[in-house]
Amino acid sequence: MIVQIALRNLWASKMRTLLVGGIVYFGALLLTFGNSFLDTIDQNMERSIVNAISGHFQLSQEGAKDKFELFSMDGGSEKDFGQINDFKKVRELVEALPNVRAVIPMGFNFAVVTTGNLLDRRLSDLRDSVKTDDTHKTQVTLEVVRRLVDSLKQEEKTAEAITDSKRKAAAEEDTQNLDLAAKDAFWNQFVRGDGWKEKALDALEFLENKIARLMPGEGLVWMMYLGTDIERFRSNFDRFEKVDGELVPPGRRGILFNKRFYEEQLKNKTARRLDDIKERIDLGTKFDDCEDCAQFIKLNIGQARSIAAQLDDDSEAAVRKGLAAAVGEIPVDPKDPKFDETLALLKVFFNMNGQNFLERYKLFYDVIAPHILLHSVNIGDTFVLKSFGKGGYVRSVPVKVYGTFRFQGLDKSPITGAFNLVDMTSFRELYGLVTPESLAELDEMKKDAGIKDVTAENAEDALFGEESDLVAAGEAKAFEGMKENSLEQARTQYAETIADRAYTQEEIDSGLVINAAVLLKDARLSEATGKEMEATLSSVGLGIKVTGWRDASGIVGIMIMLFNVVLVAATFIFTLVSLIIVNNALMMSTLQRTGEIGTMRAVGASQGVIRRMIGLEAVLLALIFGGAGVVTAVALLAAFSGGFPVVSDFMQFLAGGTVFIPKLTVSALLIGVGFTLFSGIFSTIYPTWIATRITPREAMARQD
Amino acid sequence: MNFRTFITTMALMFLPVVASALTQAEVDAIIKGVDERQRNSGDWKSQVYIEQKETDKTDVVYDAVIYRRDANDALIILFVAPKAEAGKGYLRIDNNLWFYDPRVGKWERRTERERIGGTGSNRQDFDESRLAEEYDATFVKEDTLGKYAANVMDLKAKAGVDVAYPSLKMWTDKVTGNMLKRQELAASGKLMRTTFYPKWKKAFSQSKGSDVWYPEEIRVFDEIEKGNRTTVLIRQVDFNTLPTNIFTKAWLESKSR
Repeated sequence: MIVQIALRNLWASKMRTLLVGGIVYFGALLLTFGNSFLDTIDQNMERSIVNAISGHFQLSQEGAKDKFELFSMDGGSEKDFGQINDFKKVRELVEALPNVRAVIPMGFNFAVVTTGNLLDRRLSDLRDSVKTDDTHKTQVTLEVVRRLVDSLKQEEKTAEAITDSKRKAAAEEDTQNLDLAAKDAFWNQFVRGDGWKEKALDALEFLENKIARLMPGEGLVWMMYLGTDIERFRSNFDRFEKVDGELVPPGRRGILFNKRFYEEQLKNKTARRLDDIKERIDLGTKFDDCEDCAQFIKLNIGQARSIAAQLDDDSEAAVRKGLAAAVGEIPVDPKDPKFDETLALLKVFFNMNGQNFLERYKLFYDVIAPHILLHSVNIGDTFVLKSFGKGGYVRSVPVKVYGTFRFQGLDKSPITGAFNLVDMTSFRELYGLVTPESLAELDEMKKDAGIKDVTAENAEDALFGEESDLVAAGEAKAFEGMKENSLEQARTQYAETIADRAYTQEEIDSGLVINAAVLLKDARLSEATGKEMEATLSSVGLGIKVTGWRDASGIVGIMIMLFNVVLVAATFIFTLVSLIIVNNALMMSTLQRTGEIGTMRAVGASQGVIRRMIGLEAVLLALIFGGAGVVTAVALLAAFSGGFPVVSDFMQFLAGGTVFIPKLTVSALLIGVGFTLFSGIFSTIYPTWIATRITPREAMARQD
Repeated sequence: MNFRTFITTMALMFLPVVASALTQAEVDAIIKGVDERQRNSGDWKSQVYIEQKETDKTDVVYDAVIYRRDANDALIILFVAPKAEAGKGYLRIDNNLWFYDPRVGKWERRTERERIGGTGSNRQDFDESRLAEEYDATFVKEDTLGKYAANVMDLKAKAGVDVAYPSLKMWTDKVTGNMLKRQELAASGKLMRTTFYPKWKKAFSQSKGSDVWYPEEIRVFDEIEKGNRTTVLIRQVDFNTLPTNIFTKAWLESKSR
């Protein structure tokens, strides 16, 4: 009976029902959908961090100068997180815990990659080929070098006009050097014959010292690297995936570049710009509406000479043949004695538009890219990694580039895409770890030198005091500059004992690390496992701190926390506002029905009947519309199960990949249903209280 | 105080300053003297020890051999110890500063600001003194450093000259003319390094026909990373003529082949 009256009342006041119900409907819909959306982001970020870099926990030195964090506002370059001196013991203790899957050693730092300018690199190749008597490589590289030198000469003509007068003498010398290098006689020094190698090496010195410095440099590239046990990192972080080349063989020294870093920082700029345009088109940008694309095309045309100068005779022929069909006939300018047909062809080729871009993009990689230096450092190269060690000194270690890798679904993430992987042994050397043997050698050298330490504060007194003696007699005489064999021996010893051998697992584990990632078998038991880990490590007094991945993630952890705060605050505010509106609407409606309620009371309806009727109206309203809102949210999430393509790099990190798929989460469903029920119950309290206070006399008095 | 007394008092106050101020010609002569005393007309070879200290950190030490041919502005710094560094070296030729690492077998360009071996020393600490060629000097004041009386001068880099520091403040010993202290400043005027030269030696050079002075000990204090300090010892010198082809990449490579 009361249910019927409540339903009748709802139906009778359609506008009121729709208005109040609509608020409940959208509230339930938004809370269920929105929370699912944000929960999915939170889960994705967790997966992005935990399964790629951080693990579920991070271990680091307790009481270190700075709080440990994987991602810092300043990149962490100035931070001192201390060190874990006995990683092996830590690993043994923690991996003995039943829920721990693996403990991975780590250490982060920054390095500088310098590769010199294009001519420097080609001259370095030429030097190698001359030294190794590689006739074919010498010939091919020589052709490229000569083109690069010629290109300098071409550009030098225009620079001459704006040369500063104070640099006139230097500029004139440069001109003379370029003129000399433009003559065939100069290049004949590379022709094989009696004593050709000495002549070639002399000519190389000339090119390296007098000419190559005239070519603009490519600048420094800063690189973040993560020193780790690459083999165990690969097998335990399931987002890791090799892309190019090969994995660093177990125990060997080497580097794997992050594909994102490799493509964005070390790639030829012309190629990189074409990639940028292609990525924008793939994401739906129209070429003709893209201002950046037009600028990139302009730059590529302007820098066509740097591509042309990299081609030897054979590759030039191959490029001209490969591009001929796409570009068509290039009219030769008979009046220009310096007309370069290949350069003209490339300029036309790089003048791309919306119609031909995709075709020419493919042609670039099929025809041109195989003949140029596509990256500053090639896979298979050994290059010098320079980094500031713990003492603040620059240390350098040669490392071989084995390949590239990516974190699946996080290709574009600026956070995970910044890490390059270096073997633990190289990391320790760059960090400045001194072995007992090295320390003994250094102590011997210091003892031999016998320097008295003087600090800046007491320098003047200590160095120029009464006991000082400014002048002494010396003697110039021939001395044993070095033991000639010792350098060779030292190098061989370094290669055999340090650089060119496989390290055992025992060696990789033995020694210091900065931090370590702990991966669990069951993440749901992380709280208990964390406590177990803390108890185990503190019982042996190793001074190791256990940090959950959120805290350890630093700036990213803060970002995730902020997301959660925003989520909770938004939910709270929305719920509160919704409840006030619903409550107010029901109250107004109750007051409008004073006569009706008074009449009901006059014909014998008790306060309880009125309370139930009004309450039931509100509950039914909430259940019907709130339920519909939750169902709509679930339907919407099902409809979006294919996901949204994610455009920006940062969004890819939030989405955990290139496609964002919002998923219904239990918590979001509970919040949606909870809101529905709560709004139903809460909204009835005040209106029913008002309704039950209405008496027949009061109702009649109001009607009068 | 009448006018005459005032003038007399002022004259007496400023007399010592006026009397001790050096003329520009004298300043230029001191700077040229610093260069000239260290100049050797022929080649130069020395054995040096470099030690860098930083609070609570492991010291960095090197033994190195320096080869110089000042006529060509050519310089080689070849590290011979410790073992891990042996064979690495710098070659300066034609305004290029190259670094060679035999473990990679490659050459890299470095700048004039390169910290040699990652220590607080730079290329100019090991090279021929060319102050008169690279800087314009002005007199600042007289001063004392411990028991030594010194002239203090400001030096500004000449236009178009590539030097590690565009501005210097220099103390020279009044008696011997040797450099005692040097403050090196960035273009902004920020003090970057303070260097002391507490021990000088002189040895006869056949090619010059007179003595060549060299600092036996150089103490460099980093003014940015306070506490970082580098000491360079020149332990032996040899003024004999070096082989003709020594200042080449091929020669340095051959040392560790």
